[in-house]
Amino acid sequence: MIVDVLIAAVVVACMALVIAGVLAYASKKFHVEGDPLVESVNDLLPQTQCGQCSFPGCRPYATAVVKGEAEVNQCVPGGDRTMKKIADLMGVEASQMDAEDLGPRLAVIREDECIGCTLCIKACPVDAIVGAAKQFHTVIADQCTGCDLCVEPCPVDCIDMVEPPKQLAQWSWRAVRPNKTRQKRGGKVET
Amino acid sequence: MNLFDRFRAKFHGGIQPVEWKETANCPIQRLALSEQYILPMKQHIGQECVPLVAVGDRVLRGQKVARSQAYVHAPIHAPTSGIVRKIADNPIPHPSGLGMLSLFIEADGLDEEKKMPCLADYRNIDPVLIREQVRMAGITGLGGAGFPAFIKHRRDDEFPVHTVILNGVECEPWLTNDHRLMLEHGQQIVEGLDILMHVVGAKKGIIAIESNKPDAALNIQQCIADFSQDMEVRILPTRYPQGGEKQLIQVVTGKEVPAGKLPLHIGVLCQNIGTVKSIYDAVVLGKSLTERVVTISGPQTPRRGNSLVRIGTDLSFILSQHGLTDLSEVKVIHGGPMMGELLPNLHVPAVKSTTGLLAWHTAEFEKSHEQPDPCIHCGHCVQVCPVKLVPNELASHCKHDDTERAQAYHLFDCIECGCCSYVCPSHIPLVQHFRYAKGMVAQQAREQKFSEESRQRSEAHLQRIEKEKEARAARRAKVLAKQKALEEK
Repeated sequence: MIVDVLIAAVVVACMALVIAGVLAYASKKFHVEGDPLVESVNDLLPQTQCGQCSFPGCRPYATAVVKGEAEVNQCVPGGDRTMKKIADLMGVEASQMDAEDLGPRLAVIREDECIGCTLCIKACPVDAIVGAAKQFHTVIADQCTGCDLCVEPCPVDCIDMVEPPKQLAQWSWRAVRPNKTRQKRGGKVET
Repeated sequence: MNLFDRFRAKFHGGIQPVEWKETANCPIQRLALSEQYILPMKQHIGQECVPLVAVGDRVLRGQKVARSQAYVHAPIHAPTSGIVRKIADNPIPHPSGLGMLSLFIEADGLDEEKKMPCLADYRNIDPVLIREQVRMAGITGLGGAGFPAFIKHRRDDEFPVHTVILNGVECEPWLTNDHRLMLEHGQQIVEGLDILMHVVGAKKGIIAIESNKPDAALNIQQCIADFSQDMEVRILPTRYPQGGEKQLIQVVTGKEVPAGKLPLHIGVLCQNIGTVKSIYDAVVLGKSLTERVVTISGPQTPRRGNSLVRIGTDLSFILSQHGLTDLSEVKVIHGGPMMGELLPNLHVPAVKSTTGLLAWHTAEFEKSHEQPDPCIHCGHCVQVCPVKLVPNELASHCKHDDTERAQAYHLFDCIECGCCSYVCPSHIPLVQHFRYAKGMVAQQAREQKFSEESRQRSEAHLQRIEKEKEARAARRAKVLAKQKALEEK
């Protein structure tokens, strides 16, 4: 009788050992660096690195959202669409946007006023400004995310944030909007 | 055509709009030379061209003035002899009113021409050379889409072309330029078809003409009779949008071009009548594409007709030559009324894809745009859609910015023919919804790409800063160690 109990105990112990081994191996082999959820949230963000969410970049904001330290409605350039997507992913209720988005922006350096201090180059989070010390700098328009971060450090205020020029390749048909006034069948005008 | 063929040869849906083809009796007339010609650097599908000439250069008619390094492009040629005065941004005939880099050529009135070598004996010439000639001549599809023609003229061992179809359908109301070409240049068109059949090695050539152009069909039939045994004229019942490439191929061959595939994949080459005429001009006469036939019509045009227009002519000049000088109360459509686009600005040049200019009085034009009522789900749009979509459902997804579901409803198979908008009893601008949604999808793809690139740049930036920091720390440690060593000594 006691022998039966012992055999059962030994068998179960052996099985536990084997399974523990497999699990230990698997956790080493399939180890994931970082939180995959942070990656997914980061992928949804527009990557302007503008810091308008009060975090120093898109990934830090994504990390904060996943940790629950930030709301989902803080990404200004992402707008409503991004907010809804993040809310969907995180399983929280979508709320109102924190601040109004001004639309796409582009930094332009007034080159004849630039003194070549390189401060804006250091401030640019996506390396979209070229130039060297005591040579004027310029913004690579195709790579500028319009984050505004280069404006503040400029000692001579020669950087303007402008609306990017309209390009044919990026033009598309606008949405059909219903007219504000509408003749109803009874002849009443509904506004 | 036997009874069975008649039954089979049909595409789904379609409509029969009022024809208004009153310019069918107006012979093609050469438009007077203008003083200035403006050539936008992109008049085709593909890469934008780069100017080959500089300001102050004298150019001759037919001289290549712009080209691109890319495969998919069509070079641009000077429409007359003159001096290049300016290279600058200029609006193009486009609903946005936006512009692109353009060449301004001041005509000197001499109209001196530079020609390519003639390949009149084309039957004994290597097809590759003829294809190259068509490419050099800058020929694009003149039916409106503007796809570089030479790309289709490929001999592919995997997909040999057995049939060349000439598209003489011209199903858009008002337009009659292909009709006139078939009447006046039947011989050249038939010979152009022969060139195409030689280039792609096709055994059969079919010229498809709608039943509303019996005179054109008769003329082409006579031209074929004393030319070749391998060609035939196919008269099709009049129905819009039969001139769409895939619709026409289905009607003529009974085979459907699968979604996302090309006519080449079922062994067919389809080319528009105007394109074939310019292919003839390029191969036999050595002329580059510098002019095309444009139908100038519409209720507001006093002298309606078909004009042979040099590429780059100002549209307001063309209209003034047809008696329309006061442009203040006029709306002009570029292309046909079904698929054409309203122009916000008439001081733009005619381009290779200018098939027609149709003028309406502003008041009349706006009267026809009634306020949309709600969809009553009558299903008329479903019945007429030539690509078998469900336009009402699709439009409601587009309206609510649900691009994912719109794509699941095959948004990108829509050819924007306008049949659904035409029949809608609630006057819902369905095509406008689809165009908007297509633009949105493209916009989202651009944003996605940009944010991915920005992320990579930002990561590279952070990595570099990290590295610099480490390097500084290492240097400082080295200095400290040195100091320590000195002190110990």
